[in-house]
Amino acid sequence: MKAWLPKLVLVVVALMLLGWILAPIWLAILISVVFYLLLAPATSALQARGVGRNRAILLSLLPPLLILIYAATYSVNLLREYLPNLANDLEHLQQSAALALFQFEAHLETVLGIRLRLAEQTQVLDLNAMLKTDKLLESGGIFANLAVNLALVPPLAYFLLRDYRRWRDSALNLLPNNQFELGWIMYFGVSTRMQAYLRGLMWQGLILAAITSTGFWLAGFPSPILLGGLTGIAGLVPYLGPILAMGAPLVMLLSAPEFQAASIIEIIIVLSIGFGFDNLITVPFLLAGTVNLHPGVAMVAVVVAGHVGGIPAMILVIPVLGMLKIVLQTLLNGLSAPISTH
Amino acid sequence: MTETQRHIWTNPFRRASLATQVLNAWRATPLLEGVPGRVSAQLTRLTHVRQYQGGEFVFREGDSAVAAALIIKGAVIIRSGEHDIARLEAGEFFGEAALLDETPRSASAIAEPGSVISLLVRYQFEEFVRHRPQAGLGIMTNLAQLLLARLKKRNHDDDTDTSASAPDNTLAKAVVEAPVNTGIHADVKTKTKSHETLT
Repeated sequence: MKAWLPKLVLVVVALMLLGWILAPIWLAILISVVFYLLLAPATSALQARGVGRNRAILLSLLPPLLILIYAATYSVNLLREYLPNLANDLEHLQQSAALALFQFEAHLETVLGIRLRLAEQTQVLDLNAMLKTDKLLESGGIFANLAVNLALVPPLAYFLLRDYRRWRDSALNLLPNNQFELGWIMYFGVSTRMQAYLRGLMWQGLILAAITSTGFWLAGFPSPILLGGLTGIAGLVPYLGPILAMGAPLVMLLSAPEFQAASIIEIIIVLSIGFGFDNLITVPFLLAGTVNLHPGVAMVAVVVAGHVGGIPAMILVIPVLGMLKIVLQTLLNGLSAPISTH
Repeated sequence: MTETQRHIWTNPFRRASLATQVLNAWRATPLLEGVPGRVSAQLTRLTHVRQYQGGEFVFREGDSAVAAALIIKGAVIIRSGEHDIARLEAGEFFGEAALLDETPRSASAIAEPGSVISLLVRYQFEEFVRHRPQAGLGIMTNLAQLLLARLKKRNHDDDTDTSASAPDNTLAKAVVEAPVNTGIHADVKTKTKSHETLT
């Protein structure tokens, strides 16, 4: 057995254990990492202009933190007002979906002679029981957890911006002499590409959200910013993004008191403009060539990841695969070399 | 309080600490010539001090170059193929072209027993220069001058080799006899690899 294999297994087990321990604050860690990726260049630029490190970090951290606090307060208020109506809305949504499916099935039966019975199955579902809306209203756990996570973001982001390089240097210094330079090459290859990909992904989400929010606002949809935001998040999922993006506006359409078929055309137009801009301009300029995975591999990976870990896994599977590719390539190139002359 | 001042007050009856030795060694290199002490200390804090056993590779011929090296203790043998072409000792600075480029190493560096080497990694060096453009300009100028001097010397040696048909070990001899910290070792080459630099 290769000497490095037990160490590799040990590192993987340690990382999994760490992931399990940190699971309750994953949201805080995720937002802090996003802040780090977005703000590290700004902090560096301020430092290059002679601003002290701590002041540069605080200056670059303050505006996004204020936006985050505002967005969190707005969302909590919105949820507090909306949650009591959730049960009724879900019931209405279920009825509307069943009606739409019934009409679709009737059309299908007339044209092709096929009967799917999807509407009946939808009526049998109890969405309220599935989502446990009553418990959701009674329990303050979700809000408490969210509040704790959000409160952790400023210190975590600050320490990441201040100490990340020191932690990285200490970690890489633990490498044995014969793997020291190899480790740095691997780290640099992974970090450069992943940072470029994740930064590109964030800008992609923001641009898509801005375009579709404007489109939904112009089309007269309720809560256009919320719809645009959800479209921006769905758009981050490679290949399946446009399909997932249809979800939120369709649900909103079905929950409306009166179903308007013309609105479906408006949704398709808004999403076509958003994703058209995304595919023609955003992706080629911001994301092309950052991960270099075969489209077939990427597509299968996205579907499998969605099955295993939902939308977060679908978003993260491409950078993780890209990272593994670089690590394996560097390891295979480096491990074939001799370690000592003796 | 500087590193040296701290050492005087905390450790007055012993020899210089390793950190002080590393700082002094780096400040004596051509890379940090004329660079303010505070900046030199900051850059030196980024370096990685590593201990090597006898026969252990510091880097291998053909590897991608990532770090410049400075010998703090012990010695390093420079080997190209099967031939030892130079022996570098404490205070010698080599492989600095790695601070600019990732071209493969043109020779192997093999440590003698008990060697301690301080490595400056290009990625950290680039971050350091980006964060301190003014000081970085001075360091980059030193680096450019150092590489230019090596290039001139190599061209001169090439001319000498061609005209006098010098024996194979001329350059290696020049490297071994060169004064400490002149950075002369980075352009070690054999006659079969006359256009390669020790990166």
